[in-house]
Amino acid sequence: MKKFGGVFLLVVCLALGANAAVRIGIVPGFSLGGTLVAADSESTFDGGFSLGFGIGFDLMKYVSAEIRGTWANHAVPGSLNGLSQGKMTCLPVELMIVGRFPVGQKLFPYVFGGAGYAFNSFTVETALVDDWADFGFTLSESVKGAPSFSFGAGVDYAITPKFLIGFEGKMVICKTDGEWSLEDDTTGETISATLTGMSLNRFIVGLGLKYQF
Amino acid sequence: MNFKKIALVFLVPVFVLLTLDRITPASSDAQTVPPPPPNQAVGEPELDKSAVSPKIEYRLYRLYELYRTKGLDAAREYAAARDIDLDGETVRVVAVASSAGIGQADPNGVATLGARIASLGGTVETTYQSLVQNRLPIGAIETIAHSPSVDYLRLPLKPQLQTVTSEGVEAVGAKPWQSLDAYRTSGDPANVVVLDAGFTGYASLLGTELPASVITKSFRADGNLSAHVHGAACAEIIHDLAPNANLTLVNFNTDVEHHNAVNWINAQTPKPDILSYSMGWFNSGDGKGTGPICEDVKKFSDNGGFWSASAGNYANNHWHGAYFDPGNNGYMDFDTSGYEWLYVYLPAYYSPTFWVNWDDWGTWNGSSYTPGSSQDYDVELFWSTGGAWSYLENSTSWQTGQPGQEPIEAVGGWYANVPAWWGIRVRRWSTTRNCKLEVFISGISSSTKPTPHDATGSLSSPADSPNAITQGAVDWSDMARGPHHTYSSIGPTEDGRIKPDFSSPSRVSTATYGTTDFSGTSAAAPHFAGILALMKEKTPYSLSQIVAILAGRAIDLGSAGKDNTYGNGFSNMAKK
Repeated sequence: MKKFGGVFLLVVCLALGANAAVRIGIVPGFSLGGTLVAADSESTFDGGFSLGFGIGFDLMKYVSAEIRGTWANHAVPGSLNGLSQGKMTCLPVELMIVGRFPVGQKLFPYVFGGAGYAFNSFTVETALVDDWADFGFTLSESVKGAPSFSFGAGVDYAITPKFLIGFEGKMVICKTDGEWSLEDDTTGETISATLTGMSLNRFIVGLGLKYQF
Repeated sequence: MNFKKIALVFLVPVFVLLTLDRITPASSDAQTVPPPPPNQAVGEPELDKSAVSPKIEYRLYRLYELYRTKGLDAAREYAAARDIDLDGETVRVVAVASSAGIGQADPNGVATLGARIASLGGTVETTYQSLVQNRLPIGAIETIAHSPSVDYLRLPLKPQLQTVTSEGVEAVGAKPWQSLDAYRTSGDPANVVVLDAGFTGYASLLGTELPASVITKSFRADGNLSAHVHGAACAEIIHDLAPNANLTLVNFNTDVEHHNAVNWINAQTPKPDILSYSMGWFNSGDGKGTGPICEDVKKFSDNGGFWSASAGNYANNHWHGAYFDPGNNGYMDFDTSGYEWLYVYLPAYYSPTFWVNWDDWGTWNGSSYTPGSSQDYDVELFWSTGGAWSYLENSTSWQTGQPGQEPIEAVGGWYANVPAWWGIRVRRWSTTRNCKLEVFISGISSSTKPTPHDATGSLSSPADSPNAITQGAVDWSDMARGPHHTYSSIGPTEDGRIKPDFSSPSRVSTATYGTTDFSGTSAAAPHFAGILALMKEKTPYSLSQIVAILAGRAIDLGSAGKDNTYGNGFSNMAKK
């Protein structure tokens, strides 16, 4: 989050220094479930709520740079060789290049693409952890952060000269690793493994509200 | 005459097994016991040792001598009392083939020996490395022994069933585990083998006390899977603990069949994970985890399997100590009192066998001990109702260092129809040092102690194997505090390792034996096998990790930490 805050401030400073148009937006939406692929097995993760926040400034008349973070929460049903049942959150913080194609004064279709780093986390279902705790074992699973790439398209509609509402679709590409471990509380005997190459790809649709100055 | 030799083919170990908890123990407290006989004997040994071939085990030679001098009936009587497989005029023997002068085509000399046996009217039943198990006409014993294709001729070794005569599921904390969802495993059942004497009645238990289907295989020469009931009870326990486990039931009767059975088990696909073994052998190894049976355990372990072995039920029926003869009369004093007998008082109709071995086994090379034993002791068996010791028989195998000769003797096969003292003497025939001797007594109550008595190191083979996870027996209801069953064999091994490794439930209920009627380390071994199978099914741990976890969770009994009575303690799957 510190990185995210730092980049955010940098973008704001650059924008103000350049006296460019600055656009701040919030994009709540729904992140569509994808497929978790780990090693030779795969499982799915369900769709979940997402919330994006971004700030951008125009580099040229129809091209802007935007820093955006999109938090998404997914339920994972669990699989034998992937993640167990639990909750996964993903927060890619990415630098985007946005190309805008205005249609008249109020309609602003756009496309975008960019890359960044996804802060991912996973929490095993409490009941599962508690079950094994009852038998004297500590069970834990995690996913790591990883580079992420996004692209998509959307359209903004200017309600007023300052406020815009919009709709967009975004594909997030992210591949990461995870770990699981089971530890006997008495002896410390531990077995663990890495879940390699888990795909956290997902498609997010959202409605946005933006303010530009 | 108070003695009769009786037909006990197959019945001696079974009798031991079935009666240990059911027959009133021969306790000296429970009846009027006459004083032990004086330190002198009447009668003379029946056989001049000089007549015994150094290439023939004594009991086999004795059988041959009886047949030759007194006829077939006398030989049959002798064989029946000693669990010797005599059928008609052929006897089951094991010939150790000589590889001397044999070429590449027959490196072990087995084919050459087989042809020689056939030429004498014998039939080869099975082979293993240089061992040829065959049925041989009694009259051909000396001829075949003197053949250059034979190093040594002996009777087959046979196991002792570890039963003295399941609550264990609850006692070890397995019940909650059975309903636990597997983590990081597909929940595939473990593959468990029960290697035993037989599985009488197993078919009627399928789908109830046993899985709906099991794999079976008999390595007995007669192919009889139902030669004994013991294995069925062991399989029941495993199924009680790990209901999903795949069971393979394999039986055998002799050491050669045992070797072939283990080879077959190791070749199975998928690989067996766990083997439950509720049997033990006397006079089959040096007590340091080597010997033919321990070698089979090693092979199973090398194949990735875990062997749960019973420790044995001989803590009370055991003595060991160094040869000691201050009077220098050639007979060992068993203690410092000057008394030369190791003796035990038994009720009528008990048939004790005294198994004697000493520490001159040589070096185990993977298939035999080399060189042959060169420290020669003999053993004499006596009985008495209170007067002098009366001589019964002796065992005078040669130990001259020749291949195949082992430091073992055994006497027994008699019974008395009145209560009596039974005793053995150990005679030094030719030795260059005072060996450490060990005596096991089978065919008596597991609670009966000889005088003198020493439980230390009373493990039967392969409980001494470093590759076996050895189980002592604790009454399931005594799991929290002990004590162990006094008969449960204890360590250490002859090379100083702590055994048993764990203590597991005994005196449990099975459909095979009835309510709380399955006791002994025979019951303990399948409990641990079932625990391993259940944890393997439910967790992603390797079996070696599971054993380590169980070591940490065991309920420590006796001395703090792992000890030679309880091992790590009472087997426990529950959170500690």
